[in-house]
This record gives sequence, structure tokens and C-alpha cells, in this order.
Amino acid sequence: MSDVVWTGAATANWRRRLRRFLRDYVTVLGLVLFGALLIVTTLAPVIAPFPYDRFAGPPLRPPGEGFLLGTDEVGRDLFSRILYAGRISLGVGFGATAVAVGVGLPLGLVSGYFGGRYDSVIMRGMDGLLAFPALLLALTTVAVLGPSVRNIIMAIGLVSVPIFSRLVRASVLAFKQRDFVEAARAMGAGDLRVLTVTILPNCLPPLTVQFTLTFATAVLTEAGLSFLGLGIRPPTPSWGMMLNTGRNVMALAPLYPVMAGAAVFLTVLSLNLIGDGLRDALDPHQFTRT
Amino acid sequence: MVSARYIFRRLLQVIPVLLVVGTVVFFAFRVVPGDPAQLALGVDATPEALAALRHEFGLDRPLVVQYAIWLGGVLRGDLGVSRLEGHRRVVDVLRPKIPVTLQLVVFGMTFALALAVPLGIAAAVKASGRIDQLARIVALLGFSTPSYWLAILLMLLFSLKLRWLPAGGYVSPVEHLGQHLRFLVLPVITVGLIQAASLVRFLRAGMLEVLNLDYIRTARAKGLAERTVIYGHALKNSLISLITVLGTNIGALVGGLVVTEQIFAWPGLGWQMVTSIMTRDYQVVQGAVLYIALMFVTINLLVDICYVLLDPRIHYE
Repeated sequence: MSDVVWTGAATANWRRRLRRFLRDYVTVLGLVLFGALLIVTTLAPVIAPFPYDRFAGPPLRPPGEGFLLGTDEVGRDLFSRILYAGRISLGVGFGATAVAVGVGLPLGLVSGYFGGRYDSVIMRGMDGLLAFPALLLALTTVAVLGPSVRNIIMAIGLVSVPIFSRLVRASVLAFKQRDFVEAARAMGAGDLRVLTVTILPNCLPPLTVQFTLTFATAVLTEAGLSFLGLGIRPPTPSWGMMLNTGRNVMALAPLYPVMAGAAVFLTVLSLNLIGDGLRDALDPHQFTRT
Repeated sequence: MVSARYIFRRLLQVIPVLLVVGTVVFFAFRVVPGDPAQLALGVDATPEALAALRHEFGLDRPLVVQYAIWLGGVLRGDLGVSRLEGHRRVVDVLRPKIPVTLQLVVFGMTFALALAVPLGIAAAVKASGRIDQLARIVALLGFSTPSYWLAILLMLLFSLKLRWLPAGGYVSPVEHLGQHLRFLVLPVITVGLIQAASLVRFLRAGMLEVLNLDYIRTARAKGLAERTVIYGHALKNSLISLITVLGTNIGALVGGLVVTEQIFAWPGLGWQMVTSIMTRDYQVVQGAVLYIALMFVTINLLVDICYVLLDPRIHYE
């Protein structure tokens, strides 16, 4: 029964949180921005005026003559390429974050719930991962595994595992002594049931915040790797790679790198805005924001 | 006071971290697809030549033996020989890059602090005021700006449009100090602005917390000037939270340097690492990772020591 009662209270909480979340215009701006990006990139085949991999006109044209943002160094339409690149960037960002949650969440649950030896082994491993600067670790992993979309998702995901496992562990530690958990156990729920049905739902709110923030970082990291030439490989377009090629021709076509970077910036900004809003809405102790 | 024993113990803790990093890196690069000897000699090398080179690299020995040899070398400060770079010792390739990178770290952080501290204080003192709003926007924008994009925007403005500063490159300060500084400006602004964005947020939060404490009320009640209260009393205690953020940010900073150095053709450790990954000069990559990890760990150690210096209540056992 305790589960049910708790879930009921949680739903009421959720409604209040949702209201608080949507009241902040900055958060709404983030949601709208991200929604727009998601729609535009998903519908790239419909919206893009040109195929992303065909020559559409003379190289390095300024905007105009049917090219919304001009053309790139071999005469492909920049706007179309930015749209298609967004699918990769958002996909990699989401995939990497999913990997991080997929690995970090169970590790955190086990570490926090069972404690003792499990806890120290898992947490020392996480400390080891954190001893590397994130981009350096991703860079090394890609250098070792070779650059492919799957490996890049793995590399960026791996880097973010410790954040999630620590976060989940902290939540589990906070909840495992609470009465409703005791009640569930008294009613005969096993460890697995207590962990997944009773404790896990309560760990989710802070997780959603971290999910958006990590998503943002993952997009940044992917673009960084591709910028260095160690990420997505041509002919697949990616924002980071376009920044890199655009940089080499920026004296002739300044808009080229600026627009590719702006795409990364807007994506990351929208995710950070959402994450910020979520945090404020979910954290009852924080009333600092006006 | 910071005891010598504490510093010594923290130094000892550095060793296992570096050992783990080194071991991971060693084995990681042994599973790299592709034979290093083949890579060195090209596709049309004779089997005899390949075998000879493998023997020279020690690649025909068991992995554990290779590891032991490598580890023994590392402990003596020998990181092997670069396959390229004129077959120089890895240590000789990397050592001159360290001050070049450290320069960016030190100047970038100084610039970031010079921006963030006044802005953070002003934002906290008049919370929800106009400066506070401005600080929040600056922080959010800065937090979301990719360093490589900022770098390109700065180059477009200051190098291509205004022609005030070079777009990239490096002149050693020994060679020509004035030129050196001109090349230093844009990379330092890039590193500093991004760092400043996240520092402002934390400084503001730390300052707000301290300003609500009783001793600040006491200080005000006994008639001290607001200036003295803020700079003399509050700032000192909010430094603790600042130092914490500095510590956690250093990782992002050091990682981000890999990209910044690449854009500005700034020949530091990160630049060398990327160059060597491209040419598959794995001995140098391994060395560079070790050096960067060492730098990272050392800075974290310094941060921990700063804690104890700033707050006598913090004890480490």
C-alpha cells in the first residue's frame, strides 16, 4: 500500500512542480527553442531545400540566390547541411546520455542500497574515471576505439557515467532509511522490488535535471571531437566538422563557421535553460530565483 | 596550519591515481586496431623488416613483460621514443610544451577571476537587482558557448575585421616578448570568458549564503562600513566556495585547452596530443595523457591545500 500512497502524493507534487516549471519564462524559452530545433532537424528531409551531400551551386557563395546561408567550400547548401548535421549531433547527444544513465543508474542503485564492499569498489572506480578531464577521456577513448558514431556515443557516455551513479547513490542513501521503504520491506517486498518500485521513482526528479545538463555537455563534446577531426567522419555532416572546415575559409565566408557554431550554441543553451528550470521547479529548498 | 604531514600524505595519494591512468592508457593503446610496426613502415614493408621493428619496439614479447618494461621506464622518467618527431625521446618532445600550456591555464584563470569576482559580488550584494539579472544572463550564455565558437568569433572580430591581433600562432617570450603577448591575448580571453561564466554563478551563491550569516549582521550592527563588511568579512569566507568551483572547473579547463590550443595553433600539450593522435604516434599520446593527468592532479592538490590555508576549521586526517 505504501507504494500507492506515495505515488499519489508524488502526482500532486508533479502537478505543482510542472506549474512552477512553466511559470518561468526563461524555461519556456528553452523548451520552445529546443522543440523548434528538434522539429526542424527531424523534418530535415522535408525542410532542407537541397540534398546535404550534393553540389548545389558555386562554392562559398554568400547568402542569397536560393541559398539561405550560402554554400560551403565545395558548393553544398549550408542551411541544408546544418539541418542534417543537427540530426547527428542531437542523436549522439541523446545516445551518449542514455548510455550514461543506463550504466550509471544501476551502479548507483547497487552502490547506495547494498553499500559496503559494493559501494567502495564502484565508487573508487567512479573516482578513477573522474580523475580524467572529460574531453581528454573521450578523446583517448575515440583514439583507441576509432571514430565511428557508435564509438563516439560510447566514449561520451562513459565520461558521464560517474555523475549519474553518484547522483543516484546519493538519492538512494537519502531514501533507504525512510518509513515508506521500511513499510514496503515489512510487507515482504524483496530487495529488487524495493529498489525498482519503491526507491527508484524517487530518484528520478534529480535525474531529469542531470539528464538535460549532460545532454547539453554531450552535444558540446561531440562537436568538440568532430571539430578536432576525431569525431563524426565525412561525408556525414556534423556541426563540429563544419566549424573546423568553416574556420579555414572564414576570411572568405565568415558566416560559415559562425552559423555552424550558432547551431551548437542554441542547442546547448536551450538544454541548459530547461535543466535550470527543472532544477528550480524540483528543488523545494531553492527560492532564490525571481 | 597546513602540516607537512598532510601535504606528504596527499602527495602519496597522487601516485595510485597516476598509476591507474598510466595503466589504463598503456593497455588501451595496446588494443588499438593496427600494428604499430606496420604503421611505422607502411603497407609495402617486408615481413623481415616488420619483424625486426617489432623486436626493436619489444612488441614480440608478452604483454605483461611489455607493461613491466614500460612501467619501469616511466618510473625512471623515460616515456619511450617518438615514432615521428625525429625519433626524439617523448620526454624531450613534451617537456617544452608544459610551460606553454600552463601559461594559458594561469593567465586564463586570472582573467576569469578578474571578471567573475567583482561581478559575482555585485550580483550577490544586490540580489535580484539589475546587475544580478545581467550576471545571470552572462553566466547562462557563457555556460552554453562552445569555446571553439567563441574563439572563431573573436578571431573574426579582432583579427580579420579590426586587424588588431593575430588569429593564431605562437612566439616564444624569450624571442620577442611584445609579440608573445599579442599572440597570448585571444586564447586567454577565450579560456577566461568561459571560465568566468561558471565562476560568477557559484561566487554569487556562496556570497549570498555568507551575507545571511549572523556574523555579518553583527558586523553591520556594530556600525562597520558596508565596504568593510563585504570585502573584509564576507568575501573572505565565500572564497571557500570559489576555491571548490575552481577545483572542479580545472578539469573542464584542462580538457577544453585541447580544443583552444588547436584553434589558435598554440603549441602546448593539448595541441601536441591531437597532432600525435592524427599521426598515430601513440608513444607521444600516452606521454601527453600522463602529463595532462599529472597537471590535473597537481592542481587539485593545490586546491586542497588552499582549503586548509583559508579555513582553519577544515582538518584532514
